[in-house]
Amino acid sequence: MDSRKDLIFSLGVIALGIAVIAVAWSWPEPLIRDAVGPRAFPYGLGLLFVGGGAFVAWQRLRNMHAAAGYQVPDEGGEEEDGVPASGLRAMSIIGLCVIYALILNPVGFVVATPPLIALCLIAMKERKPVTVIVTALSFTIITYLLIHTVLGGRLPEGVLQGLLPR
Amino acid sequence: MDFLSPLIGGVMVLDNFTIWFFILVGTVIGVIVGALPGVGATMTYGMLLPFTFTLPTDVAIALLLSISVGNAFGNSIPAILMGIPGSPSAILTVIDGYNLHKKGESGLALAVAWFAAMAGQAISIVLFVFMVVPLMAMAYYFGQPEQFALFALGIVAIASLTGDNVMKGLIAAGIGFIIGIVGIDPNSPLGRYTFDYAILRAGFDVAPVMIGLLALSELFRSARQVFKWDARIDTKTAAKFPKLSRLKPTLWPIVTGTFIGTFVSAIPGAGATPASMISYQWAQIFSKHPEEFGKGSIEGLAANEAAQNASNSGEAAPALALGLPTSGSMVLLLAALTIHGFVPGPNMIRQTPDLFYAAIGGMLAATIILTFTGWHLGLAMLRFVNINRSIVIIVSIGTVLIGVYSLSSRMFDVWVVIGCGVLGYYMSRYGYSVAAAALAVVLGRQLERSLRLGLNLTDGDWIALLSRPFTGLFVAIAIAFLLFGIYRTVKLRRKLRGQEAAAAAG
Repeated sequence: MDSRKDLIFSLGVIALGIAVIAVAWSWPEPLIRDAVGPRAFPYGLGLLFVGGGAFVAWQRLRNMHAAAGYQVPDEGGEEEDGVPASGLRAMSIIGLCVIYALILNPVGFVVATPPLIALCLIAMKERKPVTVIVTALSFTIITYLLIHTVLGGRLPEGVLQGLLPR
Repeated sequence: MDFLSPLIGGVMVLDNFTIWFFILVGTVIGVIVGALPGVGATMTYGMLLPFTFTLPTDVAIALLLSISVGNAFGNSIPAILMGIPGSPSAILTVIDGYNLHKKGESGLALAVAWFAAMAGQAISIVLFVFMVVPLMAMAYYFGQPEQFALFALGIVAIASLTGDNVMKGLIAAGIGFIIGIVGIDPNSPLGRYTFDYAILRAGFDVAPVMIGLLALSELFRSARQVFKWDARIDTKTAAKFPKLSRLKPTLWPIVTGTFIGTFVSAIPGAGATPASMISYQWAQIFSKHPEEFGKGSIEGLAANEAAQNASNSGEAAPALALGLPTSGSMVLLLAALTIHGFVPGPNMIRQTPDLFYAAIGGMLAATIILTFTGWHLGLAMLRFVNINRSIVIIVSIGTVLIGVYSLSSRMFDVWVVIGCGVLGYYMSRYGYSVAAAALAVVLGRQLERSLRLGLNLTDGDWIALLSRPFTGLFVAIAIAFLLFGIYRTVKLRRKLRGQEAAAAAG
């Protein structure tokens, strides 16, 4: 794991702690008081984030230059050995999910979902067009039928409003 | 409640076709996802959770627990036939099971795994009843102070025991806590971290947060790598069921493995993996042929499989009896109960024993189904392990997004699941325990509420609160877990520094 990125994450935790405390500080005093009050836990958590984040940051800074290439043993989940991992691929998938969430209501499930599945599969290096198209369409149809007919739910119709069978 | 009534109640729950249908579906899904390395019960719970909203509560619980039963059996198949554990708890299955396969004893290995799984699961259901009934009785003595201490124990235990860095575990729990307390303060009309958004006044719904943290984050992480679940197996492998006399040496390891698996996995932060490892070591100590362990020992294989299958019951016991989930899948089970309007806690089962019966019925029926079909299902799974991994990941992501939307037809929930998925992705990348965060989301608000109400009961006197017997006991155990977690972290760091120094010198 890159210790510089871990350091940045821990600095983010410190910032979160400061924000948590600052927002809690701005709350008005409650009319009904109890022994702890509504701000005690937020203050405690904020201090945990600031102190804990500082501790983790200090651990990283202390050994930063000793580690070759700033690489330190993974503390996170392990990945498959011998297979290159691409953060950019994960970010692409996340980005596609965000775009999907933006267009789902206006465009509708039936129109938005096949491109999501297809583009995500292409991001995962799936190059067979038949596989991509069949998976995208099958997933959309099966999910639509499952939710509409079996579970009785509703999915956004979007541009196909009024055209889909009820 | 006596010990027999729950077992009878569990059987009575199975009196209709609907519940059997969903248990069959859950069992088969569980075996399939168990056979797919890297998928697992937690992710499957996350994908299917939204769809359980439309089911009756007892059917939903039975379905989810049958997935766990199927998964615990299914993960031994790739472990034996491909040398790839379907989940971390099947690592020891690889060591002995794959060796047996390479020696041409695939049938024996699969038969031992199947037999140990079924026997372990069946016996553990009885142990499950013996654990839950006394815990339910104890719940009479659990007031607000005891509940506060119990929830604190659960959070501290998971934060301290999962992951390699206890400070990061506590920070992760804190992150979950903050997410959980967004909304109206329990004792006043003050909106906390709502930023005047009306939609936040009720707080975040538990289900999208859980699914994002536990399931979607894992899928994003899996998407980092593109590889095939290597076809190290000839899918035309024909394994023959061995003579029953060859399974006789596995009887004692199965019994000990079941007890160890059930009770160890009930400890917060433990789970199937340490339970199966302890069971394996115990079996090796008492075996007449310890030298065979690691080279194809059916006793080792049986002990491991019995323990990890029995852990389904062990994990469910504190989750249902006390509202204290000890694994990611149990956190999601409680999230499912929250969707159905239940409040997880020590009084939940006492007030609604049907949930208890449904859990027993689900695990029992899944075990029965696998007893008769497990062998053939296992061989059929050989085809599934060659499924395109990329398709599984992307379809799973699609299922999660649409499933969460279908909960309440709100785009806000979809944004929450994506946001929590991204948060969980980065947390797990840098060693912050997602399980601790998820648990704190579920328990944090209740923990705070219990503390504040408990202090009201003692007129603000902390000494009076902490000196109550159970409260003091749980707080002491929580401190012990924390100290153990610190010791583990320091020991691991020293070991890693030693390895780095050796590598630099060599």
